[in-house]
Amino acid sequence: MNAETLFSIRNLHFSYEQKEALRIEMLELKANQVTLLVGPNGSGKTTLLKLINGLLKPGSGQIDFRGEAINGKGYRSMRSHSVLVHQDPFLFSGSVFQNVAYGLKIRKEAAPVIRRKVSEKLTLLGLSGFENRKAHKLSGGEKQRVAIARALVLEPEVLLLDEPAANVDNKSLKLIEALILKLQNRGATVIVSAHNRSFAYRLGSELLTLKRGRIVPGMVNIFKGFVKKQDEVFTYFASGKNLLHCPAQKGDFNTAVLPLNDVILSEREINSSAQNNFRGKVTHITREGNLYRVELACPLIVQAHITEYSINNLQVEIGKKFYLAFKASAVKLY
Amino acid sequence: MLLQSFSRAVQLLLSGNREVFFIAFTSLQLSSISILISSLISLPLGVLLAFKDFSGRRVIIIILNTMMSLPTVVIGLLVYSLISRSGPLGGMGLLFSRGAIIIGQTLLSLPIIISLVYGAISRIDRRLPETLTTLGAHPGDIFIMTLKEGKTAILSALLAGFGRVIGEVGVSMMLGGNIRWYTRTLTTAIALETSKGEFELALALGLILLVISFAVNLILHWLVKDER
Repeated sequence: MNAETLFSIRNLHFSYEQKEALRIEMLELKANQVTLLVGPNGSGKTTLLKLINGLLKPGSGQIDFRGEAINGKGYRSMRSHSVLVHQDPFLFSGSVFQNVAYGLKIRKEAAPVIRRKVSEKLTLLGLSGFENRKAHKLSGGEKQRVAIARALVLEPEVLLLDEPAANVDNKSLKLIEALILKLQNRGATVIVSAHNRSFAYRLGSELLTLKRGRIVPGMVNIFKGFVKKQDEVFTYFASGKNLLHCPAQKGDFNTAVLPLNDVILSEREINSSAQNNFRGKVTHITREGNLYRVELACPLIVQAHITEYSINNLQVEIGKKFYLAFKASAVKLY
Repeated sequence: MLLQSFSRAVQLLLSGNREVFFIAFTSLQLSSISILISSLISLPLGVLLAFKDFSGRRVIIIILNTMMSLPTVVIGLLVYSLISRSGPLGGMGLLFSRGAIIIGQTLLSLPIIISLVYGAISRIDRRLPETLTTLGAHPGDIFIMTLKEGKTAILSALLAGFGRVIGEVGVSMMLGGNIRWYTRTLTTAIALETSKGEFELALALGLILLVISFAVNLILHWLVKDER
């Protein structure tokens, strides 16, 4: 994929008081896709979102928005094209309408335009008729949706959502999920943080894992697709041209997740209990600690973690073809 | 004796004595102007103290808190030394004028109002400025929205300042000079009439002061209740 780079980060370092919160050597966030920031609490997700939204100033390093530094020339462009919705968002006292209309009012939009746009976004978030409700009397999920409407009404190119799935009821969660998928289909750029794995897997076309303030390589393959058929033994999940055998389960799934450790590479096809057997060509090999990450195009892109011993033993190199196998039970559907 | 004076005082008020009402009006007017000026200074300063982290902020807050309990006569003395004939601002002829009282009362109310406004704004959710910034608000928009979000506590701060200046006697006496039909306020008049033995008049003026204080406290109470 050759998507435009929206944010590029170099040698970024940020600390709260004396405590280091984030250190990123190099990171590019692409346009027109949903990027999920995952990781435990305190791993730096919120800090990263606030930094790219200019709400925090980096201790050192540079953040560019469309090639211009956001602490310089790029600030105005970044500010007018991106909006952050905080975790547990703050609503102004007053009505839902006043909250959602705020950004338009300070941009001096005409009253009828404001009314139309506000009502449009409220409807989109399942809040039509909420205009005159007191913002402080809403439930957590409703507040979250009002905050998203307040950001969306400005029609930003980039929507930054910090933990939109935390502290919300199931109905709000479903609505927010559907909304993000809708935005994705329209080609919007959404950067979402989540510690809820299933939420993250369902939404993200790109997953970034943070751990103690650093970006760490993901430990799973994420395949986007749909359930093609189901029988008593298996659920067949189609992703691109490949069909994955997964454990039988009912539901509306759009993502299959396969841990890198569960993939076996072999030179010859093996007859085993593994239901998923593909053949692919090695496209990338990268070293990660004492393991190697090997990427194969089957044509579905599958990554596997292999020991150095196996790399040498199988003589794994770019361009070489291998069989790979994994059990149906290794695949989790979301 | 007290009861007799009290009924005479009520009679005096009901009879509509012009001078009594002029004095009351002078007090209200000077205190209101002082609080207005004070709030113009206090609101931006309070917001700045609450939202901006700069070195020396703690020190400023400690000094302000100390100044809250500064005796009125000390402020009177300070301003007096500035505006008296031989003072650096002596040429302006401010001594024993309404302007002098306003200056003194403004200085008197500043520390209280700044401290209380600072307190009010620091209690506002820290997410407010960030939320406004990400929605594209400029510093001016953030200032206005902050005042809106803290309006009840800010109004309480202004009323507390008003309560302090309307009841003070040191500043008005030393800087205003208690000049009849000019700088005589409720408190200076009470002091004067009491020393002259005119208890009825003093008591009548005292009653007016009491009613004003009562009204201020009623508004305060109502605002605080409204916030809960």
